[in-house]
Amino acid sequence: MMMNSHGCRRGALPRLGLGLGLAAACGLAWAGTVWAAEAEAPPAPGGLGALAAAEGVPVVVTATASSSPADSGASLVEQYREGGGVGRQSSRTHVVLFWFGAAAALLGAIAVIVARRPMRSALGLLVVVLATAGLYLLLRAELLAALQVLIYAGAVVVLLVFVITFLDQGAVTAPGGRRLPVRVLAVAAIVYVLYLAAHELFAMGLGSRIPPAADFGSTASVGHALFTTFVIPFEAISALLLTAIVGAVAVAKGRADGTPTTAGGALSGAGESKGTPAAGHDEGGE
Amino acid sequence: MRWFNSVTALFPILCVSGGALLLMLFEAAIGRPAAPAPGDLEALYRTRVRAALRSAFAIGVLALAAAGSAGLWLLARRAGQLDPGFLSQIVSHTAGLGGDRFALVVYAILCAGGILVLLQAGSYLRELGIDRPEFPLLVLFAVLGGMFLAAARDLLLMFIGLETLSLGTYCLVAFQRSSLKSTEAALKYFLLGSFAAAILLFGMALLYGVTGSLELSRIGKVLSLASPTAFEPVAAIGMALVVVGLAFKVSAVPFHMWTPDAYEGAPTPTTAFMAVVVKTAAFAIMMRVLLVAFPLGSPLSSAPAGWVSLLTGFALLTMVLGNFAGLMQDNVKRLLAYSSIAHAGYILIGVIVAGAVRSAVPREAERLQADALGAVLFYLVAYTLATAGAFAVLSICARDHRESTKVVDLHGLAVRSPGLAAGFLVCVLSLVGIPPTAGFFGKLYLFKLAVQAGLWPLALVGVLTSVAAAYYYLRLIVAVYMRPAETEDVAVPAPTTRGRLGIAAAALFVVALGLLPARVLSVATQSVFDLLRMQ
Amino acid sequence: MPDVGLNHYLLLGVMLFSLGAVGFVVRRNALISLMSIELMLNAANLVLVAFNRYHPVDHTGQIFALFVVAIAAAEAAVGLAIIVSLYRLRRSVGTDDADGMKG
Repeated sequence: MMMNSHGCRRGALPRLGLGLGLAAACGLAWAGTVWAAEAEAPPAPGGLGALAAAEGVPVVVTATASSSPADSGASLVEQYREGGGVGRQSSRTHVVLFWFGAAAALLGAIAVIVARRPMRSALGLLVVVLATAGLYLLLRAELLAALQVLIYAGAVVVLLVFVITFLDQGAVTAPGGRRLPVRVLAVAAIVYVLYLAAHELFAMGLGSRIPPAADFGSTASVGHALFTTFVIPFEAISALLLTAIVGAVAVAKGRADGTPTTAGGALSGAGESKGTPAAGHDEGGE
Repeated sequence: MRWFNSVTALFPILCVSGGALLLMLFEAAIGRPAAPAPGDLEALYRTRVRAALRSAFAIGVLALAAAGSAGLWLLARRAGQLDPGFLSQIVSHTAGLGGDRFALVVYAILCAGGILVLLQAGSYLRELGIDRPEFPLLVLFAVLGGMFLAAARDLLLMFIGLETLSLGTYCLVAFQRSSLKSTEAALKYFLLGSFAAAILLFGMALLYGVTGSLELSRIGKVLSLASPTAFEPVAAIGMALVVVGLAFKVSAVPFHMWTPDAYEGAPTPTTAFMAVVVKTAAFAIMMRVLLVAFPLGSPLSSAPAGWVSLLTGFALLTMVLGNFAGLMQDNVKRLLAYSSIAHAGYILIGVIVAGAVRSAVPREAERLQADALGAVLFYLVAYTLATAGAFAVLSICARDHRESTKVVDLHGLAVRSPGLAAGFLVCVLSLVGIPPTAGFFGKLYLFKLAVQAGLWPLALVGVLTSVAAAYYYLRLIVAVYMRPAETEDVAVPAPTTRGRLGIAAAALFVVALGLLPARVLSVATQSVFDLLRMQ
Repeated sequence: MPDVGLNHYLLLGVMLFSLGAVGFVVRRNALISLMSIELMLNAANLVLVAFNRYHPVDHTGQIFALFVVAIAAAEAAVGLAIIVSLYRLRRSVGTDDADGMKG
């Protein structure tokens, strides 16, 4: 299929659409399964939600107490290492779903970086994004999982796909190609540092088994934190999004520069549609 | 009066963001005027007046914010003397956005840099036909991002500030969208900058994992615990990734590849903006992160795995490579790009000294640290003024859709425009570090402190490379003063009051700072105590 | 069946991050570089959320990740704007692959 790409240029678009749809459907189905499994599985080994909530309260209190500046660093890492010892932490479904999601994410990531055509990379990125969304559900970050699907899959990847089709299979090469020795060196450095990181991180252990509070990661509690503790960053990011909107419009809208004679509404009309969707997705971002 | 305190402490930030919003709403409301027909002088005049008003408004906003920072600084000092609780009360109401005196000083530097950039931008943008309202708007937003960075007390706000600043700057680099060079420079800068941001973010994630907190002071406390498990290799890796990410932003040497291309391709006022505002903000956050999250006594500050040794390597490479690569440039913008890389190396010396202080008495150690960081702030002020002034001359010499960027273009400038040439002379002399200018005292303080702290190899390399650098700066001066113009096709300054005003102000302050350095240095040193005592 | 815990998530995060970093360094296509950066941001998010799950005192990690998602979207918008602008310029100038930069 890759060989005679020139021959079947006409059929390429529907096929890509099909692939996109399939990938999205698979990812969503998987994420849905994860969600269902998590919803079924009791949040804490105790069983009933009420019991879990009752258990959760003292846990949170002890955790807060232990995180006072006096002793938190040591105890935190030790917590990760030794685990709190409240019994088996992950159900069998959790384990199976994790390995499935991890495999999907890794395969997607490999696809992103080895694909010859950017469209396939975008598909790989879509798989990674959806797999990560599922993993977020496993980690009890439901709001984040939903926003990952909405913003990443729904806006960023779609925007990428849109631009790739616009750019005729993405002929834009990055300026200033790095020389080969530099690249080899950079890859070696990256792999070495991250190998070290992986080594140390794996030694972190399975993590504390203190069950989180019953409403940990629920939309209500995350939203509450977002608008109380984190209200200043929340305000600050509006400046960032505004900057991105203004900047994207300033860069991509029309080409009305240069001599005043070429400056006109007719020219910039076509370009307007490039700048504005970018801005629109941004607003969705918040 | 709680709300009053919060609003007061946030005044500079509110001022810049409010000004940016007003400017944007105003431009959106009245819409873009039709391009004036070739012969329509009245319409042309109206367009120009609007552009001038726009830029004057933005400059006024920045000046107001700078004045507000100065006022708050005085208020904070008085309050600190009368009642130490007052300032902390103000600060606690704006948790996350600390209005401490260090941040106030950095606000003032950023606003001054923004003003100098806007002053020189007017004629340049007009000559190139890209005088669009987004330019002052993006400058305001990027300065706002820099202010977030200066004030950030946690990693989250730091990341947001850094991205606001960077996204604004990427767009300013690509601002001349009919120029292939400008857009290519923007793409390169964008890709490497985002790569650096991703590295920084990963480092932040690791630090969060080890300490369970995003607050810098909490991270510092947890990491400097005396228990044996406090030293975590994961924390060390996170710290290294954060330092690498910041080194990209200040263009320290192994991570400087984007600098010459981005500086050369960008419109000249944007180049000045990158050299001045972006660098100042990045150094401000670098000081805060390194000295608050990895303070003295933390195993991550001193050798062997600490940031001090890492930065020492960067600083040596930066000074040597920046200066020697500068020797070989014919393009003035590239030359000044390497100059800005080299200056980053000198500034790093100050940061390293603050991390390498050895003293048994905590008060004494704190004083030495404050001296070092105060010297860094002083250097940043001197560097901002001189660099912005030098770029302003280049901006003003742009004419008829072409820029004067070769050294040859500057030949005979002294004859054509003695005023501009004099301003250029003062700024370049300050960059070299010749005595009556601010740059001399900046370098003197840094090198002196390095020797005092026992880091004489750094000071030695600094002095030697400064001497080498004098050669390429002198080439510029020779071109301006001693060579006659060979052709007609040379840089002719566009007649503009604003640009001349900017250059005059920069040169004047450079000299004033050189004559009265102690005053500014003491302001800087006092402010740094707020950073060191951050809770 | 062996247990799955914090370290597995962290390891996955590091692997995704390094894949993204290697992709960024190796590939020359600007769009793929951009996607590699998105990959790295995703990996950092995964690490943040995983740490938060195993230190569930508050929602700091999750909220940081939330902000990163918004920032990544903004970054993609700006990056794509620059890429589109460059594409139009190169097409009109006719230098598709030659670049004026000196490396």
